[in-house]
Amino acid sequence: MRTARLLTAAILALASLIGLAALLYPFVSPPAAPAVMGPGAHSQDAPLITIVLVALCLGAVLAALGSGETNSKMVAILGVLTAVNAVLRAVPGPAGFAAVFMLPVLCGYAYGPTFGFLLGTLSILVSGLIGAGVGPWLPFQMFVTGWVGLTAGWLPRLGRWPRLEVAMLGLWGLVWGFLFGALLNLWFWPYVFQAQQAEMYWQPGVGLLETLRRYAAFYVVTSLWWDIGRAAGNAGLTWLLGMPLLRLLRRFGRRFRFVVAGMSPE
Amino acid sequence: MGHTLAWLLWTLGAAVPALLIRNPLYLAIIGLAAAVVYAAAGQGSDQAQSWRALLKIGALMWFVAIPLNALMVHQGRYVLFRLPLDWPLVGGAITLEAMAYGFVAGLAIWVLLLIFATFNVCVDASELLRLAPPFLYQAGVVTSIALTFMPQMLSSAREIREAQRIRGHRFRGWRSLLPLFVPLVTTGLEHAIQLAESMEARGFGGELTGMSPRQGNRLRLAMIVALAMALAGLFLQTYYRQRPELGLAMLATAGLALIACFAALGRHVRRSRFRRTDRSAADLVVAGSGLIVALGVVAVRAMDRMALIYYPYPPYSPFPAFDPLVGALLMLLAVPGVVWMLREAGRPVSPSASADSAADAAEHAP
Amino acid sequence: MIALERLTYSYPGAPRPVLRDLSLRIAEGEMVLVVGASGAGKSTLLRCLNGLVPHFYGGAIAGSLRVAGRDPIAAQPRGMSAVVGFVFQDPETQFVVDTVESELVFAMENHNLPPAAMRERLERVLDRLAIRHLRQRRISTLSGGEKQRVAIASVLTLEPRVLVLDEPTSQLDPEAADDVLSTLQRLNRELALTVIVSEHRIERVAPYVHRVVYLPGEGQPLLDGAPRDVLAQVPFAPPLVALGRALGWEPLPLTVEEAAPYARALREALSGSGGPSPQPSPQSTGDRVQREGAAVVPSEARDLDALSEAPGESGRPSPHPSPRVQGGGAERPVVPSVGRRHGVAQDLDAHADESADGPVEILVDDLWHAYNGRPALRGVSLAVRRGEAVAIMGRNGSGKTTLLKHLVGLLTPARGSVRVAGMDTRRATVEDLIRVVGYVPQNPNALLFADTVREELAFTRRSHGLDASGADGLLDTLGIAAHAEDYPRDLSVGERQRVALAAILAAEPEIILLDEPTRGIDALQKGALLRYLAEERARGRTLLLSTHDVELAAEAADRVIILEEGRVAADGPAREVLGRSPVFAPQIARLFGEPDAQASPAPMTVDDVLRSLP
Repeated sequence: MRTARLLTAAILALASLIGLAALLYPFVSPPAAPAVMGPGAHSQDAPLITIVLVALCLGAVLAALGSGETNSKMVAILGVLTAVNAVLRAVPGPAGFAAVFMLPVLCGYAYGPTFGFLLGTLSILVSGLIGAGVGPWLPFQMFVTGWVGLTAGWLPRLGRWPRLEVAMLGLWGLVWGFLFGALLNLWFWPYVFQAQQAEMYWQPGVGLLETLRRYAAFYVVTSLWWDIGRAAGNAGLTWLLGMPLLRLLRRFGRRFRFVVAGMSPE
Repeated sequence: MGHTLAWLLWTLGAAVPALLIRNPLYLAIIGLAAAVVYAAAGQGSDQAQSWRALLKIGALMWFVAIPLNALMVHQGRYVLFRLPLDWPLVGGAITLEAMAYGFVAGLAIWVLLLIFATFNVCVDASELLRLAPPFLYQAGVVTSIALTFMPQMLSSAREIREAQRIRGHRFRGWRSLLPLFVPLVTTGLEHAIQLAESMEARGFGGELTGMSPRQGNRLRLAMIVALAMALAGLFLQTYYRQRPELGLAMLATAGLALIACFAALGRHVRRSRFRRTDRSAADLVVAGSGLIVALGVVAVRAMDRMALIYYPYPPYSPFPAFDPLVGALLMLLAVPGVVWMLREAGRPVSPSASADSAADAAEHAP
Repeated sequence: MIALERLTYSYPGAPRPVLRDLSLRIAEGEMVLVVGASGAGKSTLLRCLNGLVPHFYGGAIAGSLRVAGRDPIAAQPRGMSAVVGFVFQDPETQFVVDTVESELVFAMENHNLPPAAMRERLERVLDRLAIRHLRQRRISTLSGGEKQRVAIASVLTLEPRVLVLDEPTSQLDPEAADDVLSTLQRLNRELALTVIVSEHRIERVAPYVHRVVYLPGEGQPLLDGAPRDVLAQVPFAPPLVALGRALGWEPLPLTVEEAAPYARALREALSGSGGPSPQPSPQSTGDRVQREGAAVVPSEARDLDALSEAPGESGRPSPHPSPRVQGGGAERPVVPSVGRRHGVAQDLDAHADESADGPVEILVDDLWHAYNGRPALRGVSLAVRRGEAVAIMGRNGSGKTTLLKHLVGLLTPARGSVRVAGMDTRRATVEDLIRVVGYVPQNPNALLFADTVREELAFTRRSHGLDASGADGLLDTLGIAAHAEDYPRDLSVGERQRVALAAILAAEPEIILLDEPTRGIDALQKGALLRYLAEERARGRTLLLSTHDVELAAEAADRVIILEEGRVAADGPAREVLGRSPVFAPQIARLFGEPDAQASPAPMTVDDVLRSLP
């Protein structure tokens, strides 16, 4: 059992690294001059390749997490919370804020990183199915939202100080609000900025900084305001509803003692 | 509205070219074809509204891309005007080519959105779920439960809002969300437990696969190796510029290896699948058009890499190339839409409800 | 088929076992009814049969079980699912997928059946339960009864030998309930399926079963035997059985048909006094009558126009002997007013003259309402005076809940008007109305969100601007003081009902609206509810109940309004309306009522009959 858990964790880690690398691709992508036989020639394939790759990684993670013993309580609770979260995403708020991080953060914290990851990932999928749309951006969004829930499971346990606990969780939502936007804009960015100057290529130091500067500019212009809304909204909602929701989640977790790690019961 | 798998193939068939092609003329053809299909086959869907909104946003992004690109990239022969060089980032020549490139970039995004909009309005979510491969079974069940719970949750939310309202609760700011949200989540969790009971009473549970722990670990290890290879391939592609083929080859191998692992996992899953047997000629048309176009575009690309790319900056011409054969190939994507429209035209006018059932009947006819 | 020996089980953390030393044997092909108060262990016992207890709940179990040749404890729910099918109480929470066909194959897919076998069994089950027409439908669009049939079908696909159902009809309206129960009976007869069902509404199912098992709870031994024998001993029996026990009818009748000969004999024996009829007397034990200021409303058609001009006066109604047709084309009920001048009617009229007819609290005039173009209320008109207890009855979809929502201001009339306590709902806000009207919704879970019962009450009071602790006495009145610090959602259904009631009453409304208050609660809790309602009436509050429960209406209401497809089909004293309605007559009324308009209305309850005896 322990080996299985370790291996599953390794799969999750590797897949996440690939996902992250795929997202950060534009920072390190070679120039797009097609005449140059060499690195540039394949840069047009980049979006297609990364999408397929990330989708496969997601498949690997879901397969690894779901291949053990099935647990009906976990599946049902995950299903229900996924529905709640998916609908939350569709509820419009100020500046396009969608409170889609609050539940993954709270559940990742209360029920463990695996549960949090699955909740984040699948609620994006479901919200895509019910209205936001199934599109090529889905695997990336699924991964990043999954990371939100996953990392929340690693936060220190502050059960003795409920207010501090909720403050921390809200802060986590804030951080991810911005990070999510920053990471996901990267997906659109190559389309817009594929043609960097022909002389620009990855170099430790110079090229990276230049790319970062351009990206920062792009970010500020396009998604910063959106992200402020998202980050503040998620944090605010978490601070507001966090305590009773945590109590509720823990009550249920206690009553129906299902073990979440690796989707296998004790 | 046609078999889900057929539509999936069509979408892939349209999306792959849309991702590979950068030529505005070809992209325009793809977009047109997708629009034809969307208009013809996607009428009855409730998703149409949200998609219209999304398409508007896509159009917005398109028009943002043009000036953005023009401001950031300062290459090209046809200079429109110049900004002072000492302005950070935007200083320099604002060229036509840069604007053209931004235009094409935005168009590509928008066409992709349109393709997926068509997919979404032609396909039903729960039907899509039935296509989930066996190795993703648990994720599929969770998604299914979420979709099934959705209408109930919405009516539960309405009930709760009314109940709290008649108790005196008023919306007085954010704190007021508490008596609305907490009962919703609580009811949901209680519902989940009851559902879990019902599932277990019908045999859900136990080991999903018939594999022994050793077999399971071996498969996991295989996946880890494949993923490591993919990561390496990714890095090779970016850093080791002399031999990009190596990186690409590693990525391809890793991908195939992962798929093989999935298939192996799927074979061991101890669960059968009920299939409904209703395929029709229309499905073949839909799937076929997608497949032919995708394969065609990949072939063209393999033969002549440059044929599908539009790169306006010097020393290349700012005018996009156009090959009528490629154009005709891409037009095939519109065939499902045309077929649908012909079918609709041939059918007597009837209210939408019976039109749907008539469509169903027509599809289920041998 | 089923053999339980010395079964003992306690839930995790519970101080006492809920099942103690139970032994039970059930033969193949029997249909068994399990009865008992809430908390007595019915659900637990049923779940032992397929292994959900202990595997889903934990806890400690002892004893030996054998069901259809397997041991549930060893086989676990997975192993038992092929031989035991389990259907649960709530039709909403049993489905994994949204399409009927996909749901039906879920169980078979879990068992890895080959596709050909799945197809075959699917077809068979569709026919057996007559749901072929529902095959491609979305489950969320089905009615409660249809959903339960789909739930039964989905477990039958595995072709089990035993079918266990835990209160399958408690969330359904009476027609759907009868539908499901007759389906069960058919399955039992046609397939020789062993069926075990638990129910609170014993009268619905007692005629069909071979055996009854009674769980007294508190770890006491169970009673097990033929229906007549066991029902003769349970504390809460259906009205016919209770009457039979009281009058010593042997063998006990379970249906109206069986009781008819006894009733005829009784009637002949009493032929001098014109048959049994209720005589309200000062010493009557009927709770309804023991109230001050109880306005007894004559059922003659009223001149509503006159009333609406002077809502505050407690003026004498001017009885019109003939029914009047209201404007708008809505039909008025034809309530016979002839020949009522003796017996009960005399007493009622006497009361009418002297009792303080309260002012008209609620006035509905030609109310129309439509949802999405489909009319839910068509020209409903009625008037309710202070202190009355009115039951509003009707099939599902007849507009009952819509009407109640209008009374509290959640809906405003598109046509017609609604005046509550002098306020016109089109102009008044919900906040104004809820100061005088308390509406207890169907689903108490929609209200409960606080951590303790006390906080629930405090929340209501704060929302109304009252001091938070003023309602503590309410906890005692409703008998939930012991749970004041408990988490409301951990309580039983009946207790949660009462917490919800307390949460609404905490604002001290004058008018109380109850929407299906007896859904899913057992007879003892129903009695407790009735007592509390009586006390509220004693305080002078006005009650409106929307219910399917005929017996409740007979006990608690003095006036009944029947809605049919959005129109008022009947409006009059409970005895009259219930006695004459083919659909809504209580068992006793059915037994003693005569088809043609007799002089005096039929008795409604056991007490009525007993009182009329010399």
